[in-house]
Amino acid sequence: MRTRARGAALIVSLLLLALLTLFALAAASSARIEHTLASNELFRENAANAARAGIELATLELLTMPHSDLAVPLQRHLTIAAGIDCDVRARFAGYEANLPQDSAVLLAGAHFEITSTGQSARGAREVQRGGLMIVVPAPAEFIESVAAMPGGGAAPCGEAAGRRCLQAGQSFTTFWRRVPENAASP
Amino acid sequence: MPELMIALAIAGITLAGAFTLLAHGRELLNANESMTQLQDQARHAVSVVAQDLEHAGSFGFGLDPATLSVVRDGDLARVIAGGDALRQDAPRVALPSSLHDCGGNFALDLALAVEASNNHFAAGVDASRCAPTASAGGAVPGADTLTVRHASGEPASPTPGKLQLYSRRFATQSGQVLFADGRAPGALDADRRVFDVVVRTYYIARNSVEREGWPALRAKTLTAVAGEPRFRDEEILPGVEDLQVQFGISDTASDVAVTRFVDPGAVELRDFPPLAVRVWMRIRADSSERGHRDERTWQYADAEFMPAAAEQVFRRTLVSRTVVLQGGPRGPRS
Repeated sequence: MRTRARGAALIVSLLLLALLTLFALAAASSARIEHTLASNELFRENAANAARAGIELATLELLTMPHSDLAVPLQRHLTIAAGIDCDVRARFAGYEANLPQDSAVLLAGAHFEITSTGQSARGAREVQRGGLMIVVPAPAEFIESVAAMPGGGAAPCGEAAGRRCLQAGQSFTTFWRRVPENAASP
Repeated sequence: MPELMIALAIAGITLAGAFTLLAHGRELLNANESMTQLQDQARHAVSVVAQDLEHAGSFGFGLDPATLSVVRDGDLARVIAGGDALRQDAPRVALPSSLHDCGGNFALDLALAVEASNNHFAAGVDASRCAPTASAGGAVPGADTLTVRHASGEPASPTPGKLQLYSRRFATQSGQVLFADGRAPGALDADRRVFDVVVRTYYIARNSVEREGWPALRAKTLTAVAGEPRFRDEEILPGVEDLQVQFGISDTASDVAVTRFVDPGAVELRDFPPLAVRVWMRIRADSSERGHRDERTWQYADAEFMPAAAEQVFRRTLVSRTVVLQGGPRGPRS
């Protein structure tokens, strides 16, 4: 009997140790999966915020740029933090006539389309597209092209017209949208 | 023999401890899983509404609601109504009556990118056929209703019965055009596109599709059925018990930064348009949890909630998101 019992404590201890190790591994694995899921969500948010920051950056640059340079395409790379960055492009689309205005100088709406791609860790990526209109004094060639229009390319404004008057320097976000990964350019 | 007895005794004690640990661990794991699932649901529910809100007020290439008009027969000159005649306090525009099911001009009032009712279900003025669908069992009392308006993110094809926007990049201030007969009133190219008008009203229903008495987040979305405009009522997520909304306004001279949040219907909203929207959603777990008692009082927005005894067995979470609205002018004001 004594011979048969010898070594039992070791076997029982090893079994116990194996069991406890399994518990610990299962708990660690579960925690790791949850951490990964939470991180993925965070990276997606980071990419979205980076894309948004890109649009804001381009908007600020366009607003402070000399009018003569507005037609030059803008391309910037912005690093927000380690592993979080964005590529932003802005292109001049053209001028809008018939803005409601009471200015002595004819005003036009300079339209821009801004596309910003935010990137973060684990391939998280988001593309956003925004439209911007800046009210600027109309360039000479534009004034010529709208001269034949009723009102000479300007629309009435003020209380009588029921519309607010726009002023040079004002700007509007005309649109904003998230772009699906495989979407064509609008 | 004594060694074996001692080893067995130690093993017994250790195993008992290990199994107790295991049982507690299992309970914790279940609670953890329940919480993770609940948080997943909450994230999903709030992101659906937040994504809609992020696009609120974004209409094609942009528009000034004062110059927006409705045309027919694919002809820009055949104007049915425009400007203030598209507002909800104006007489109904002569379009298919189903377009007004949720209220006169409710679908056309694009000047209001967001609107909400406080602590009750409501859509537009004189909403005749906009009650929650029969299977929803009515709206949950005390929950807000939130309506969001914007255009589809991507261009669409002209479709009869759909309310659509013919948007011209260089006519944002001089007249964008709505139509609902599937006939675009002009050429289509990179600077002239058709977008679907999205009008969606979120509310909390008493019943979910699969469980009676189980609340759910639902939405009424403007779409087209058999060539006619219709508000389709669909469930988004079961388990959402409450929706609360507040609008961020700026009541100072700066008028760009949110200074405070007010409930829907607040008098301040007459003078100060919302710059941001904050939504709260209270969500309950799919099943009850052994040993869990939710006895706390939940306080958020203008809501206060303490679960009834029978409902305390469900784990809950509260999630909120603040979304800054797009559009609007920057720089000097006229």
